[in-house]
Amino acid sequence: MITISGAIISRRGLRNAFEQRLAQTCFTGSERLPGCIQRMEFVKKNGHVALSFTPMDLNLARELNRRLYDYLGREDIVMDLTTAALGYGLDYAFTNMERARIGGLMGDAELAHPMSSGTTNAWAAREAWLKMSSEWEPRELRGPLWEVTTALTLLLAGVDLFMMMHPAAVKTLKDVTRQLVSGKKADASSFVDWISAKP
Amino acid sequence: MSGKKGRVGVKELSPIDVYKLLPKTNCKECGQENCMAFATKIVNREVNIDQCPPLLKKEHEKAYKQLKEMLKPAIKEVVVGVGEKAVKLGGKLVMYRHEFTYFNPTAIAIDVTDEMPEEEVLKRIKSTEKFSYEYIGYILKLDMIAVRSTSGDAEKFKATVKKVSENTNLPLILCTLNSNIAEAGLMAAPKARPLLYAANMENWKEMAELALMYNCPIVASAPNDLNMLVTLAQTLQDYGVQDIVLDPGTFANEGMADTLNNFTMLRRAACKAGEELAGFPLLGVPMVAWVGKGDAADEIIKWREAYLAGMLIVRYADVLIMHGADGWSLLPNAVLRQNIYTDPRKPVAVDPGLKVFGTPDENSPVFFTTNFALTYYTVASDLESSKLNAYLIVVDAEGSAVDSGVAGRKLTAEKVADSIKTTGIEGKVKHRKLIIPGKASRISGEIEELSGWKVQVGPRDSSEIPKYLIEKWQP
Repeated sequence: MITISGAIISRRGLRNAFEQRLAQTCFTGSERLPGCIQRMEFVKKNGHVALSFTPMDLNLARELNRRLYDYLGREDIVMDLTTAALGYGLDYAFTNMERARIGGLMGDAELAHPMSSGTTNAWAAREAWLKMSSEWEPRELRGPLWEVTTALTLLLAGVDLFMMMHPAAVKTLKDVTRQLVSGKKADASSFVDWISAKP
Repeated sequence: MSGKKGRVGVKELSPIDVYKLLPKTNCKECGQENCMAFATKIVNREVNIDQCPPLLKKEHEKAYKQLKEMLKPAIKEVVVGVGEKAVKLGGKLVMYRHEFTYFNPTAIAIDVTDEMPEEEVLKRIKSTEKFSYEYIGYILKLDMIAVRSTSGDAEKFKATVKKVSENTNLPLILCTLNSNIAEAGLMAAPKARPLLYAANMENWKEMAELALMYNCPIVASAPNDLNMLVTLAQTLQDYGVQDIVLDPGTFANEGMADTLNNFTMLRRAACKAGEELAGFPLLGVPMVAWVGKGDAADEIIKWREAYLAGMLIVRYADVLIMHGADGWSLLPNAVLRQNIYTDPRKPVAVDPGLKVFGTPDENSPVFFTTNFALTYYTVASDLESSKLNAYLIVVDAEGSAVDSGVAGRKLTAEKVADSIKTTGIEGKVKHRKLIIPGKASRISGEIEELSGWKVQVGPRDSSEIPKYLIEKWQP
């Protein structure tokens, strides 16, 4: 499967990056076009990893990465292609990331970088926090599920690194990623039990 | 799996290919200016060839068939139910939404069983029908009822299916692997065209007979075995069954990777390798999360079921069977489905200009927002649902939201002042007060200078507009 295996490949790359730098590693702030390039000298000198941030536009993402190559190695760049919340542009974020990952795997070197997502943006959706009429409550569950749904959608698009807010959402994302790479097989014979299940 | 290649990809198909086969009468009976305009709409899947009356005549039968074949989606469209509430499953042209757009959003079915007390069955039907959420101009709804045989008793199943079909027009999924029980269910709803769940390697012949006899679509089920699933689809097809839905099994926890893999491989085989036997709608069963739940809290299971459903919506499921029926757990998926099925070919901006809400007069408040579709629809739906009488100026911010528009200089005081002039709002209200979005407060001074209007900084979220007007608005 393209998306999952792709994420594994690049996640390994990211982990290596971390291991080599240990505690020294950190992410610089958002590097926007065209400014802030001079900061790259600092990033390079101190062995940091840069987050290349672009506003949902793959051409801009490629261009920024190209500029960063003058200062940093390929393994020093993580892309943040901008995360929009479920219900508030997640479709654009999802498709943009899916295209970036497929592009990277198909040989577009300028997009072949691990991807990061500011998944906390999920909380910008009012349905995540707003007190609504009783049929949609409790918001204490609706809100974190909003973040989980945003996160898992982007996980399937290939995101490697999540910045999140709610502990329950973080736990679910960890549980799911652990399952996906566990190598455990489905128990095919138990599947039909749902038909007669009495929950 | 052996693939059949050669069908023209959806993007390679040109209007000329379609035009060549049309009657070329330019009769406008389809509502289009001419046959070429009709052909263009056909290629964009905005109209259907059945809307061309001359093409349906006997002399064009051959061309009609050729066009049908040419336009055939990679994933067959299967209709479940009858009448207005019938749902279409599948009909997909592409694997990734950015390759074209997806059609027929994933149908969501809520289950009932033949051992639930009658009140509970009716309550679940009612809450499924009542589910409704207004989101950027769309009404999000649930689609189907799945009736499960948990008793193993044909008469009980029959009675429940009868009760359900008397109380809803939503299409049904009849769930049992026992063909006698399935038949009892079908007898209770003989004309309803339910989706029959399921044929497997043991019962396929009896189930296929029922599907043919009652003219209903059928699910082919082979948990975690794609080769067997495709063989089963072939077998059913050879037996004369046309409308098939594939069930590769859904596994929560262990097996989640297999589940996503199976869905993806099936869709890939159909869309990328032209494998016709994989080219059927896919059924997912997030309610497997409830199996063997033990003493886990219901909320935990609903949560698991919900995120499993979400992943399946993203990864190609065309229909889902769910047990958790709470608003908090269904709403994220209803919105996710709408997002994934939004047409990526459509612009992200709405037309700028003046929008009128209710019946405003010369003392009514004037707001502005940007032309980013999501921003506009959010504000518009808040103004509509609060039944306010107001004017809303939609400023051309090149499709940006308010905060990013201000930050990126796409939403400027000049543009706001220009919009006040060009929309003619000054001839419609007596006052000169503009309520601006809270997130545009940075440019409030500039707007006052350039427009000569007094600016009031409104709430950061448009849901608070009604409260704001009560507290702060005076013409």
